[in-house]
Amino acid sequence: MNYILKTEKLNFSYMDGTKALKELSMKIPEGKKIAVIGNNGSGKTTLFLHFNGIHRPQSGNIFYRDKKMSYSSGEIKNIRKNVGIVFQDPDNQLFSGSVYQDISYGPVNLGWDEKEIRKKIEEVMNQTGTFDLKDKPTHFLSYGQKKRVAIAGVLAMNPEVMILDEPTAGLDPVFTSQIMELLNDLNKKGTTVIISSHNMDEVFSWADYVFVLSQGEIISEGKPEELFRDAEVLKKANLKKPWVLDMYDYLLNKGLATVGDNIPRTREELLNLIK
Amino acid sequence: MFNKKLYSIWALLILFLVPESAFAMHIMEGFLPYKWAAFWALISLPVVVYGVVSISKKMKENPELKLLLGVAGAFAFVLSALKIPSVTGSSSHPTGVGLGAILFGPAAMSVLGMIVLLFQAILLAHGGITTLGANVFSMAIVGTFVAYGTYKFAKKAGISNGIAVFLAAAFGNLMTYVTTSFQLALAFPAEVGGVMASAVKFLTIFAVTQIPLAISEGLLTVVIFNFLSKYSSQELITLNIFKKGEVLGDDNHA
Amino acid sequence: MLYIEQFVYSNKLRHTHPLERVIFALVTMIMALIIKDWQVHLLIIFSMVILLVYKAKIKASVILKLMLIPLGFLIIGVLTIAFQISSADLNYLFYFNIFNLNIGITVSSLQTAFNTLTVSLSAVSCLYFMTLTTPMVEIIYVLQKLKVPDSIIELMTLIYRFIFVFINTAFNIYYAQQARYGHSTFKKSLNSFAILFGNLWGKAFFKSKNLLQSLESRGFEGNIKVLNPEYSFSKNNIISFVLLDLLIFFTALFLSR
Repeated sequence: MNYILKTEKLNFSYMDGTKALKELSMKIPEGKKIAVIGNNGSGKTTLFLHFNGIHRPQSGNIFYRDKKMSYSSGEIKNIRKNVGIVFQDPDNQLFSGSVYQDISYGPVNLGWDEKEIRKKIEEVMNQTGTFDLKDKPTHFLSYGQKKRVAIAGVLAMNPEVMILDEPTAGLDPVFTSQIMELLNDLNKKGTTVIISSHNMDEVFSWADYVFVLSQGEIISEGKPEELFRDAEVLKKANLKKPWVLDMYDYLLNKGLATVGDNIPRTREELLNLIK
Repeated sequence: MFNKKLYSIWALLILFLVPESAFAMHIMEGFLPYKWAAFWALISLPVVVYGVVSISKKMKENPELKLLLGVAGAFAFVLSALKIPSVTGSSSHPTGVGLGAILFGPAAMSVLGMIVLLFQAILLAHGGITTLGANVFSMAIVGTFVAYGTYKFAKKAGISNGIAVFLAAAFGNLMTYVTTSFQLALAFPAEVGGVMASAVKFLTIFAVTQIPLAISEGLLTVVIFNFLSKYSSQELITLNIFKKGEVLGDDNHA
Repeated sequence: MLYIEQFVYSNKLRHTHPLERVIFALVTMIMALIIKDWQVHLLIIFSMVILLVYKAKIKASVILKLMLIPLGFLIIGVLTIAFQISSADLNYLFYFNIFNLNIGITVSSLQTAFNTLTVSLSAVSCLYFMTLTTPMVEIIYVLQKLKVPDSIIELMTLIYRFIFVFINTAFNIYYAQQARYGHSTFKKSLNSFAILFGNLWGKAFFKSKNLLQSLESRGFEGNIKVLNPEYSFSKNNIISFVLLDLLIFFTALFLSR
């Protein structure tokens, strides 16, 4: 297994003394769909900001493709190109009144030539379904549209790892499924996708691998179908068991479902296993 | 007979329209003859250029400042776009120069003031493009420097912070209006008594709205300052506004 | 609030190069200022309104409503210019006498006042032509083309964006305060505004910090450089604009003879 990002005994505290990360070690497998879950304040955002060099570890190390980050200016540029972050609140990310300008920002910073940038902007606009918004000002967009523009702005830089901090928070079900579909598409093209989420059903059906973060520490990790069956972990991290899994286990107990090749992760898969 | 009737109509018109025009006092688009419009633009230009050079240098050293000034400019625009109550019971828009001058210093505020004035002209049709130079001079330059100077002077004279802030904001606002009146008087001197007589005319007419407005803005600025020092003194320290021990809110003069 | 903003993005003249509209508006505005003939001013107002209504497809009622905005200042300013105070007898058209002072309108003051009135209205119509057809982002782009320093351009870009972020917050707080009688007396209102602006300030500061992180993650190193959409000039527009300005110019020349 190739690990694209690794942290090793990461420690980070904020100026007010809050310890945000404690001796945190994790490995992100390349090309997978990763979910990081945990309560508010568990350190998810702080961790993400380490992944693209915004925060530097106070102690410990971060590796990108097995190379230890040294934070030289050239390397920082490289890491920010390869690891993109979409922030939770698009109003913190979109700085321009023009959708087009905003998406162009990352590529312009990378110094690509104009033609290439314009082509890329068009491509990501189509990919994120924001092409029709290109003549609209940012402040006339709905929350979900802003979110997609924010994703397009990061996508435009062609990152190898795409991190999204709670990409579906505050979105209606239609937008949510559109965004999850977009993330699946990206992943199929080889991008490693990392999200944080509070929606356990979504994580369970979408992720290949899950990390559980609590008070700056990883208290558990694993495949979703194994991790979410660990009652102790769920209790410790205050997590709800995904309903598909909950129902499946219940039905198994009652002898109403068959044991398939795989544990069902979606409603359809579950229905197929009911006797 | 005809004169009297006409006069009463005009008197009524003025009474009705004055409270409405309380939208601070920017000279509207096209109101100044082109020679005066050009003159005030030329006078304001070097000051704004000085401001741009000075903040560009600071922004280069500290890129974060650019973002801070950006959001501060938006803050100033929103402040000036909201109607605040006036002591006379009507409502009007504050200039925000007092607050801005004390928070950011006169150089940065003259640039922000210019941008805010341009935005007001384009987004609100308040002020104008041809009169931008004149309005920048009265508000972003005279208003800002008067407010800043008053604040510094009052602090040096040992006056309590609350009163210093009040005086700075009220004088900044007041001098903006006085300057505007003189700009109008220079462009339209009276047939007898020339510029001075004309200035008296403009000062008198606009005093009805502008003096209560200056007092309201002074009071509002003090209350905002007290609030800021109570709840976001950390931010104010970052901005380097207060030297050690000079934190606001020790005295409550609101 | 921000009335113009509601129309500019859907106007029908938008999809050509903003430079042609901004230059046309400014050139016509300067002509309005220099030419002192009310008939020319009427021609300018008429042209701008026609362009806005038939080309940009802005409703006439919107333009009328906007024309009322500067009216307060205009009427007071023009009346102040018109009335001359003197103890002597000027060339008054009419006057009245209070405390031995003559207050009235003279031939020349009426002329100046009337000229100021028509100049202002025609210049305002040019301003509206520009602001109703050209969104702020494009005006900023034009300023960039006109070599305004980058730091101003970048600040304007940020300010324009964050005005809308803050205005929403400000109004939400304002309405919430009003619902709880926070603005029922002068003193209460003052305090409520302090809380409003204090919160807004905190939010502004917080925003600037978050913005820094998100910009840095996209490679911010101190500059905010962006690419604008490609605008193309419209030959038809340019020809009509030039012809209109020539028409105004020759009308003025003809009338001055």
